[in-house]
Amino acid sequence: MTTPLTPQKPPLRATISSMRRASTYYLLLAALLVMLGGCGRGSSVAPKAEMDIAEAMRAALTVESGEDDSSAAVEQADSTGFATLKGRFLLDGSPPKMPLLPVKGDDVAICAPGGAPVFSNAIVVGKDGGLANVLLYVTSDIPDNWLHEADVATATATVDFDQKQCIFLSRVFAMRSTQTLKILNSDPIGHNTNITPKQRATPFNQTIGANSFALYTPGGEERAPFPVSCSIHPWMKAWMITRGNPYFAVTDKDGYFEIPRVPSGVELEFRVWHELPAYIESATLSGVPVKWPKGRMKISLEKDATVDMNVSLDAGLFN
Amino acid sequence: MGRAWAAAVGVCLLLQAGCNSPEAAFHFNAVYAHKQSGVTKSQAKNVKEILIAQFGTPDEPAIPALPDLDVSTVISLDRLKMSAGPVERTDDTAPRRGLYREHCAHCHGVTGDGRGPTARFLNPYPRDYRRGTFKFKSTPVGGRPTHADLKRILVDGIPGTAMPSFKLLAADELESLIQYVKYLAIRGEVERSYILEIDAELEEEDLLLNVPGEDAEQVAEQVEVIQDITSMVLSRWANAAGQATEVPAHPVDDDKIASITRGRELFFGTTANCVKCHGDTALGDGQTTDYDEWTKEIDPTKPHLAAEYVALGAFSPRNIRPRNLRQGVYRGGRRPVDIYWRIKNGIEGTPMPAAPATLGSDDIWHLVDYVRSLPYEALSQARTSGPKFQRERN
Repeated sequence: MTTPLTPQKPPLRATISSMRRASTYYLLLAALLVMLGGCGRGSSVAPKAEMDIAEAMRAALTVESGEDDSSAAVEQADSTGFATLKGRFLLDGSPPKMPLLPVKGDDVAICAPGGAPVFSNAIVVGKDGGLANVLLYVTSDIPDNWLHEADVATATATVDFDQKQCIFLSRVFAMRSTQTLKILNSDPIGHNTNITPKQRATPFNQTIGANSFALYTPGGEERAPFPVSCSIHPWMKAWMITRGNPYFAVTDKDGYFEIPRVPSGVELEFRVWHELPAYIESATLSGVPVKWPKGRMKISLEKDATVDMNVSLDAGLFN
Repeated sequence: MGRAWAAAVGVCLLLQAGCNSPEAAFHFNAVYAHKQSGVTKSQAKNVKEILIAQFGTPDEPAIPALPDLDVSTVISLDRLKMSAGPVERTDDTAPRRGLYREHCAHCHGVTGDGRGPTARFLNPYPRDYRRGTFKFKSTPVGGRPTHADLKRILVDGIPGTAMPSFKLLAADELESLIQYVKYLAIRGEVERSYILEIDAELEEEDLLLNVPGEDAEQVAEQVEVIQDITSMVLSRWANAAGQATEVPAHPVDDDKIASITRGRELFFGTTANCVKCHGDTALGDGQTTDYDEWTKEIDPTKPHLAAEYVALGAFSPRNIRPRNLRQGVYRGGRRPVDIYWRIKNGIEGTPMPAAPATLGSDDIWHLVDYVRSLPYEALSQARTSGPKFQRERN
């Protein structure tokens, strides 16, 4: 008797047994994966630190720094006098739609008179596309003797920062770190001004009674703008920067700015900033596209010159 | 069959042995680096290495060397050793080690980032020391807490939170832990400043410190920047002791009721504005939509941005609630002087502002008296006259 050569189903027992074996392997594989998964606890964001590099760094950082400060002796070009930098920022394209602010609570009658909707003023575009609240500031080291006497005189002046109808009247505000800020409250309700610098200026958070004021002395310079807010009305927002030199400006409602008495004959580094893109890295300057990495713009002005900058910014930067 | 299982178990055990306890390491502050956006992976590695060079590792701490400041006046390496390292209690005669990991790390994390294994289940979340911001202290906003402030928190705990009291620890153990908390805070602040420095000044291919490297002049300049930042952070801690806000004596008159009444007027007035957040009933139900400063850094009002930070390890944002003043639970301590400091200086890192400068110490004491009376004041006044719902009896 011969058996026909046909494919045969394996006996049921064998099938079950092989399935069991397979499931064992799957279990084993799953267990392996779980174990391996459990191992990867370290942060994968940065590569692991190398101990021998750290040791070499420790040696470099422990060396006594020399008494004679060589960096101070570096030959530096001296300023030849003063010049004026002025200009205008324009927005090329239509600005993004600003969100409605969540104005709520007991103070609605003051903060949104007549129940009118209040929109964010993070971006303000004025006449002919002029862009307000662009900040320019010099980040180069400025020796004290380069300052014009008019700027020396105002080094410890008091400057005003006001709020009305639960809006900070300056959305972007720059001051010198040696000056005193008089924070006014022009509302018949209380506010508090919460200033949160990142590094060297002193933080501040004080209640300011109705129609009253508070004084703030920053005591330190900051390299980038930092937020200002009000805890009673959390939708209120502004930006501030404190600088060690007087060379900064914020564009007005139509995008114009002017920085007078800038040291001439030396290359100065400016930063260009707006709260939505932060550092402005690309622009069109007098029709020519320019790149400003991290907002850096280098410029050297001639004595007694008035340099006019016409800057156009693509609306895409602000989305 | 049995053999396959045995093999499976065996392999698992082998793998387990390989990964049971990875060496403790400080985590990089990836959330803050993401905030500043301009930090590359190699720059992050560089920062980690600089921090190891200055501050060592969780098992072997170090303190940075600075030309212009004696760091041992702020933190003492000898004191740190008792808190650092793995928990060791094999021999009673040997010096203790690992106190921080025994008592603190499960909530505050080995790095002091407030992200220990139990942290996400707690409300409020444990403190992230790395901002150098501490709430309950005697110094004004911007000042670091004094040694005594930190000790008070360790000894008393923080009522109303998961932070317990460590009163049962020996004096030298407490001292070591206070120093270790300062050490982690300073390390974290320095790290944040390095991240800011990189974001503001360096191009993508540059490092904060090119060691090992050939350019000695460049290294000298970089070392100066690093030491300048480190000494800025350390000097804040060194100055804390002299910054405690003085508390003038309580006004002498003994009329407590008059003081409470005056305090109540101030509480509801437009000078002190307490009512705006603590609410008409002082139940803490006024302005409740704000966030603390730790949370504000992860853009809590923009969920799509917050999600990116959460993916990097930050905890889901929560609103901060003004304190319910009727419970009689005061996180920073219930002594009159504690409440005086909270009102006078505000609570750093939170929306609670300092009192206006126009309020004198007497007025602040009146507010303290009113706040302390609130848990005992009836929420509504009981009716003293009016219809009586009494059943008439025949």
